[in-house]
Amino acid sequence: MDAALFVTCLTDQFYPRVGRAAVAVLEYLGCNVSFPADQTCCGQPFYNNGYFNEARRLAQRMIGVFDRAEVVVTPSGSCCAMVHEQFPRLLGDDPQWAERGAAMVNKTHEFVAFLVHTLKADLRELGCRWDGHATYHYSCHGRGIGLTDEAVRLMSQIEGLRYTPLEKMDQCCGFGGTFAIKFAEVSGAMATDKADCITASRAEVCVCNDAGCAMNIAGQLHRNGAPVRVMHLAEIIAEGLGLLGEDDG
Amino acid sequence: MSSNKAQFLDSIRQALGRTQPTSTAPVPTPVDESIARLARPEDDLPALFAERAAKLGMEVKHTTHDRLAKALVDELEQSGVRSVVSALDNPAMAGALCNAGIEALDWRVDRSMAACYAADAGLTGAAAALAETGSLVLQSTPAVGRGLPLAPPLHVVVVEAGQILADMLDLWSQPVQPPPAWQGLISGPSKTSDIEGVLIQGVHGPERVVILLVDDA
Amino acid sequence: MAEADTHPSSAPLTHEGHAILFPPLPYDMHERADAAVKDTALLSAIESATMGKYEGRKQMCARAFGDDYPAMRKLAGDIKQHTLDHLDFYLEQFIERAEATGAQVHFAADGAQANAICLEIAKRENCRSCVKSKSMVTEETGLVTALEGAGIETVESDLGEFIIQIDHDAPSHIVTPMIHKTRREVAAAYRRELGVDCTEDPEELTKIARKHLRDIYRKADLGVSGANFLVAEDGALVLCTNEGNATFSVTAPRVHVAFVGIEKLVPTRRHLAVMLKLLARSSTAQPITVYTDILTGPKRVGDAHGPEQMHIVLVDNGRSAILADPALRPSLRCIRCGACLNACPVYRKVGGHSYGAVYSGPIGAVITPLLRDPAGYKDLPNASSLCGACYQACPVHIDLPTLLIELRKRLVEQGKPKRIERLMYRAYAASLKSPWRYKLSQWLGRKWLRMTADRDGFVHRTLPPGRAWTDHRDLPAPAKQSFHQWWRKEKGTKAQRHEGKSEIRNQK
Repeated sequence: MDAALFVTCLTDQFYPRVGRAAVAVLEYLGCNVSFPADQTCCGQPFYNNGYFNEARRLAQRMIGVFDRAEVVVTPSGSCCAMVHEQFPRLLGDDPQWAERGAAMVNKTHEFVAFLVHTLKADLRELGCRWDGHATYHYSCHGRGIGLTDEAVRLMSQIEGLRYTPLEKMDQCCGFGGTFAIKFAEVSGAMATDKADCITASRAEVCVCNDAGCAMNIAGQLHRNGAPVRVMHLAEIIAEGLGLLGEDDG
Repeated sequence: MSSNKAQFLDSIRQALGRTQPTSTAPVPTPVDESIARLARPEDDLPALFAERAAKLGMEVKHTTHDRLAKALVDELEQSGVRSVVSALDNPAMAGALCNAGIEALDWRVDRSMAACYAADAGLTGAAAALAETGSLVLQSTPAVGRGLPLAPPLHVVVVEAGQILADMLDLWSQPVQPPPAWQGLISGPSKTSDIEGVLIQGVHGPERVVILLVDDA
Repeated sequence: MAEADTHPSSAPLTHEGHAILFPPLPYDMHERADAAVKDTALLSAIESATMGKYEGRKQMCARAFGDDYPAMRKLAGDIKQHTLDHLDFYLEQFIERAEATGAQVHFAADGAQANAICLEIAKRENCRSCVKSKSMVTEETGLVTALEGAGIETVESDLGEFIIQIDHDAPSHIVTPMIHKTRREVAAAYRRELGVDCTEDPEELTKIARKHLRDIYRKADLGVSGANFLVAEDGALVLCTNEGNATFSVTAPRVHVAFVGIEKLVPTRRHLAVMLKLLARSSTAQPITVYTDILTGPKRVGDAHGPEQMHIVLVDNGRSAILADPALRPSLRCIRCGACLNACPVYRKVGGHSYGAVYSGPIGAVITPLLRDPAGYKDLPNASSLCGACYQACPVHIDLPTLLIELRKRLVEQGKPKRIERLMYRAYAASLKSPWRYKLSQWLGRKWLRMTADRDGFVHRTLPPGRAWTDHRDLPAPAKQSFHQWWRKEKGTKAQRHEGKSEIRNQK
């Protein structure tokens, strides 16, 4: 299967290792991965803050960049949710763009959902082994794209991975884009709550499949002096399949 | 001073982009029973009702027509009830109460709120009951008033098994014309958890609701 | 135990209580919100109450509806939306049927008119004492203050509202109004205002209120309520409570006045059933409220109890303006269950008073600006991380995040955000227009952030506006090499590097 990677701007800048892991895993599972180099941003920050004209132009731009792709896979859930939920709203008024937007929605997949639902990957069969104690934060975009326990199911298939459910697993970490700046006190309190739950789980790794949440949670854990690493599931799988060294980063 | 009806309705119409009243009645959203129905007539309705009423915090006592009077007296004696207002039109029960030394005021004699405030217990029947939730359905008629199940600290209600409907959708399958001034779905004792989430029964209405479920089958 | 004559009803809602819900505009939410997040007692009270109801709702709804829960929410949302879309028809039908039952229907364009109607009825019927059940619309209109001002002593009968009234406070949650208060504060208010000697035991405090309110019910000649629903087909008014205080308040006094927002209609009793199946489950994780009172007119000939007169005041107070706006109309579907408040991680951290309005939480952040003043409450739509927990919890399927974004969009269109913010977004958008701009700007940003980062790979303090971030948590430093760079170096072929360009040209 041909799959184009939409790496997203935050992953590009802050977590390129996640992008590399995603590429490695997808290739391992038989995908022919391409990376349209003209990609920038899906427009989410603009849409969420009410700058619809800017968001619309970026949405159209992104559709153009991925026009030729058969399937688009992204390791960032919130950007996937932007495509799925908001592209139709942004582009609905123009029939031509509405059609192209709908096509974009149909072919865009979040990485974990793509592994579970499209590729039907079974990590146990693949012999994925990763030794460590992990918990999992359910990022809010999961609601938008209908994710339930896909990530946890994959984690349960990894040999050596000890999983502890996170208390208040589906409570927002407080990122919310510019919310973290505009209501920094409140956002900080939410991040503290999340970090406290993670610490209480005693896990050494918190799996978080969205770059924004990961920055927020990692930043809070670090401020608290909690020695917990925030990782994307793609990294764990890539490591577990021997595709990415632990120090590769 | 108040905007009149025509003006008020006009402003709603305008808000909806209409200048004239709609000429044909809109067709309301159909209620898809495959989604909304939570109990079916073919279910074991008395068992379902008893189970769910108990979950709501009501006390369910199974009895038969023959044993009803005794069951009532037993219940009242155990609860230390000295006076009741009774809207149950049942001479056998009145006699049994009298023999037990419980002061029973016949609703037909004194229908005042004052009598309801003063009684230890209110005795009523029900218009229907719902297996779906375990709720009692009472309605105001000359034979029972809305203060009676509400004001005394104990409400004892006699429900016949045949009165139990499956679902709220069955209670309201047909519009009743004219409807009673009050129809009440009573689903437990009066309760609150306003103070720090601590559940307290009997905040305004009864602390206890006892259902005598008459099932001869 | 106090005697009835020491009851506190003559103490009106103080300026303090009023100011909590009606602050001067424009309202800056930060002051209260920033204080609330540091108030550990407040947070633990709110957290335990909201989390319990949040988890309870999920369990109750899953048990009742199973996999059909989303379909049930959609059904209820469709019913309410249909009713709103034909509100002129259903209102007219309701008025006709309600009048046929003997109820008198009144029309109030705003809060002042609604209060005036109630005062006129009270005056005409010579009412001196009022007992009132919980109603959000009366909070909007300030009815208690108006009644008190006219010399009609008015007592709230919902336990939470009663305590708030005697403590000169204001409600902070649609359903559980005193969620922010502790038993200690309640006991202190009882001692001070009721003159009773009491412990802090909730059971004892509740029973004191029971006795106190019994006296009020006996003497009140005016009963005021709101309504949870109106049924168009038979003119019924529906009240849902757990305490039974609404039943009492509209049974004992001889005159009943109900304040009802026009959005409360459902077409038929079968539609009412759908709403009732969701309301209590969503609100307090119960299958149904303890008391569901369906009232059609004053007491009939032969009835022993019930009011001699029933007045229904239909209140607009800003609702028809929302109705006129199709994008925002879904916000009127709300059945005030409070599920979105309980689900909201922001509400859990700031409490209801931070919203500075009658309605708090996600639904409050949407309807407060619309009912009051969009510019005056421009903070509210921004006080959300858009996590979507509210949408998932809403029994009438209101897409609250989308409505919040719609309000943000309108603020942008009206040029409300600060000039500097607008310039930054414009510059940011410009930097994303082409790959080279993106790569250059991101490279600069990455370089600069990495320079300010410590050796442990985190930025501890940065310049505004990022300073607000680092005031609370660290910022992971960007990677040395971006994914774009890595791909070009390791994987890129000439063909792939240029993929996509032709499409972009075609668009131009």
